[in-house]
Amino acid sequence: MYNRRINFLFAGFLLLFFGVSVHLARLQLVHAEDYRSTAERQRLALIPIDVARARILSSDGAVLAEDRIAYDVAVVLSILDPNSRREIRGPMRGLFYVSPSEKLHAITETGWSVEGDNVRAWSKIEIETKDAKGPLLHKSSRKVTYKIPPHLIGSLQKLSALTGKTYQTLLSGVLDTAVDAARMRTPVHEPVTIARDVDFNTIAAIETNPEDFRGFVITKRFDRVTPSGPLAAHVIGTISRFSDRDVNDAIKKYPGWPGAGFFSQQRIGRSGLEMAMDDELRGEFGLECIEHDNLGRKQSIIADAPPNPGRDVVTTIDSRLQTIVQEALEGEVGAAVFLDIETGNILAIASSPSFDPATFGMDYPALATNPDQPLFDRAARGHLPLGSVFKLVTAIAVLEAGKGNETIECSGLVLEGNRIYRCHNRYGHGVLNLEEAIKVSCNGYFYEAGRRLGGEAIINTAAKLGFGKITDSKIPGETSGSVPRRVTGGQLVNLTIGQGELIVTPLQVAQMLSIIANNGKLAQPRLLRELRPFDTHSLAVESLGEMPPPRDTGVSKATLDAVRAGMYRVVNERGGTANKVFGDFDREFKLCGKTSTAQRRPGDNVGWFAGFAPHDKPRIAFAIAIERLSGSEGGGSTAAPVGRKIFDKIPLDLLGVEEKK
Amino acid sequence: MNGKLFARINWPLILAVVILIFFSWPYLRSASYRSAPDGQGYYTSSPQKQLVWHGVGVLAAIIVLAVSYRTFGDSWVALYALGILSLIFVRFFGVTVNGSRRWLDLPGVRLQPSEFVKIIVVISLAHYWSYERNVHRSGRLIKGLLLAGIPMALIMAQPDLGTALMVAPAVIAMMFVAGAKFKHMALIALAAVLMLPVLWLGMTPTQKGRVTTWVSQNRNLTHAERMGRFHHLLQSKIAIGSGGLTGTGLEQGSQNRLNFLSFGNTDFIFPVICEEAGFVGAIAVILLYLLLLGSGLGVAEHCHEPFGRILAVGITTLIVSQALVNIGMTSGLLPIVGLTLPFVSYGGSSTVSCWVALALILNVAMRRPRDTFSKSELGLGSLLDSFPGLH
Repeated sequence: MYNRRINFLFAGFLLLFFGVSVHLARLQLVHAEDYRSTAERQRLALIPIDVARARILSSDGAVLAEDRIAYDVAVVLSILDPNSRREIRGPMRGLFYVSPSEKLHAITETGWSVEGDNVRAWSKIEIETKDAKGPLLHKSSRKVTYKIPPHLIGSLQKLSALTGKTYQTLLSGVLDTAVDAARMRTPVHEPVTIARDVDFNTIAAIETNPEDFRGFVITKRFDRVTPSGPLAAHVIGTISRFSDRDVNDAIKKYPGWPGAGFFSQQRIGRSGLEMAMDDELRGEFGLECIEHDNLGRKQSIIADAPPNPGRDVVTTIDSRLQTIVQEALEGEVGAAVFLDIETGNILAIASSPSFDPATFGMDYPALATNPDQPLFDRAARGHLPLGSVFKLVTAIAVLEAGKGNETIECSGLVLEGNRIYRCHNRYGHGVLNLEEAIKVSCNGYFYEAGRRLGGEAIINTAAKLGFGKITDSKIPGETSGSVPRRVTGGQLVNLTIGQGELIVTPLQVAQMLSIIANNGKLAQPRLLRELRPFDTHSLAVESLGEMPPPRDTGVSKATLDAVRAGMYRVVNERGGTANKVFGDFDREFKLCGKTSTAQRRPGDNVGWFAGFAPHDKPRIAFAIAIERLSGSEGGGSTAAPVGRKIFDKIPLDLLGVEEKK
Repeated sequence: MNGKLFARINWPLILAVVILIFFSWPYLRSASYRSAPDGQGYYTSSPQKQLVWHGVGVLAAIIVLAVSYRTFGDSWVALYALGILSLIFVRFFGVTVNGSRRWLDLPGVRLQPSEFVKIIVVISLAHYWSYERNVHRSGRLIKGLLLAGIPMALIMAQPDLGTALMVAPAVIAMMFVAGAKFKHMALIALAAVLMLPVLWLGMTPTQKGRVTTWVSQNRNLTHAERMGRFHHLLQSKIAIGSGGLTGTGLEQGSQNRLNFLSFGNTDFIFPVICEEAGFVGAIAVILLYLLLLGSGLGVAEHCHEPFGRILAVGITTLIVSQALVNIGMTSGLLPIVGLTLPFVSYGGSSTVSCWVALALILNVAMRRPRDTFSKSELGLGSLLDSFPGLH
């Protein structure tokens, strides 16, 4: 009775099972290694361990920038609805970044809506993928409905009372994350920040009442702060998080990526010393090799390499003077630089208006649109006309040429070509020698002296005194200004009083004054002093910038004595251009200086006050520039008063002067 | 049950099932592990519950054994009506889980009637086709197919394509063993092929997606695809492949333990065994099903009575083909359909129905008409003896 058919059936099944066995053998015996390594790859992950960024210090030990631990309130999204967990799978964390072949092309629609107790988060995504056959367009749309549990509503209300943030803000923080999860960008188990930088009351409330705050956690992160107030913000600079673009840059910079020392979302310097010294400050982050489950939840640590902190950067800035300078510049548009003439140390460097690196990210929109350009470093990058302070250069050129003894009569105007060049005293200063000409800043004297000397000598002297090239102070982004190559006729007349094509930075001006004060020797300005291990117990200090000894510029002492005598009279003699401001100056020292009012455009003047102190044994040189002056204002009435405010308070030890008993 | 009947119990059949259960249960327990942050995972209670279900299944089997299999055949109309009614009942009062309405919520248990309807269909058809006139005439042959088609359509509409289609191998095997003419079978096969487009049109988007996923599994996949619709199949293949020859060891499989593989304790228990017991374990499972197949078909060969023969063939095919399809779908040979691995996967209805099916084969073995030529007459029921073609 059809037994043969049963045998046939049995044989058929045997054949099928044999086929299945062959297939299994192929998977388990031939390709076992491939599958094993795939399994390994998807269960192991390298997690970077962030390390505190090293500090930036002033030379007197004040902390200009450092990391502190900030506490945020975060919510674990899976509390919304345990069932929604299945909707999102796979570890989506961008550890060492994305696969380059796939990029998120466009998110056409995304959003959320609240319907009763439910939140519907949805998104439509188009992903453009390129493979060998050419671009492919994948469209996907996801809808995830979350239930808002009543306890979450209660927790958010309590948190709202604690933090002062509105309930709506907090809720939308949670819901935006729900959208992210719908886009499969955020793993649901990972806590998502909804309130940043909360105070200890909030932390205590959440940690002591876990029942009231189910699913809420306190997360820690490093936050860059400026404990001494925003000092020398332009020099310190800003940081931000490593972006996708940085990843691409880093790939170009380091062929060995991803072992090259960055991870996605790491903080790196963007400007100033934070950028220039990034390699020192950043340190090396640690790595943890973890085993995780399908939702990316850590199971165990397989191996780890601890992080390695960077080194503190000690600058030459004196926080006391820097504070005084910044206060004096408050409300002005301008810059000031103070140098130690013997060492070249930049004691203070300020640009006003300024910003606070600690809140830079939040303030950025306002800062970027401010017409006074608070983000612009005027001290090292400001390209300004110098005006009369340049007469010191002309004077040096004249003296070095041996023509310092000639007297010249100022009649109030000079004719060159078919143009009239006027002195600011329309009736003329009369017959003047060089010292007097410096004191009253007589244009007529310098027009004539310059014409007699010729343009080349002045240009050479300007170059000798450091104009037209950067000072090499290691201030990030320093610019060089410019000195005209050749001047004739009217250009020469203009150059003698620092007008025309001459463009300088306040830092260069301070450098020139340091040469004058230091008997013609140039100590190269420097900003960085040393690197210190982050661990304060270690003594392994590495001095930065073993500076070359001051370089002699070849300007003779006699020349400089004459110039300095003129500068002394500017400040300390009745009739000097800074004497109105400094006439009653009565501290333990006197200073020498020179003012100027340079015209940038008609009605837009730059006022300068530059000099050194003390007058007899100079220790510091300075340059102060105030921009945006109206036609009636000048350096004597704007920059000199700023100087007065500073010198009224300047710590005497910086000047090597004993306090009067 | 008298002593004579007891002596004719087919021990290899029982042995196959018991070894299968004892061998696989530790892996079922391993698959019930749910990971949690920081290695704080836990085991669900499903392995313990599964033991209870096996207990219930054995009780059900004893009840089925107490009645002659012929009684089931004689009352096939009542059984068939009960089956259809239960499916209609599910249609209106069933519980929807994961998008399909297959379950009935009874106090304390959730029942899946389709698991039992499959057996009823086999009993009904075995009885119908045990009359030669119902097999040799094309019209009646097709009537038999319709008998199977109605409940299949109801199950397909739940939608549960897998369970519905699993009736087909049993129907074909029964038709074949009942003695259908090759001419008729060829025509029916042709009609079935022509029906495939209709089946495709009737499939839900999810089901179609599973088929296209299966077809295109070997091309280069993008990250989104690997995380998306291919995820399940890939994870299953990774689990199988990474087991290698001897496996990672019990409770050591990362695919299973870290939950990359989902449904590891139900439909995807086979990849768990493959990962943790390796190729050796997989072949052991296959050999046990072959033992079950051989014993079941052996019972049919020894039964010189058409209903018992066809019933034994149908039920054996039902169990073994489901195992074959489950192994095939988890390893990528077939599209993924929601099917359990008989006697191994966690699930009440599935387990109990498997025991009932097993009891029916044993029932045929015990109560078949005397076969004067068989050595089994000695009551030994030796292993070799029970295999087809060996007596």
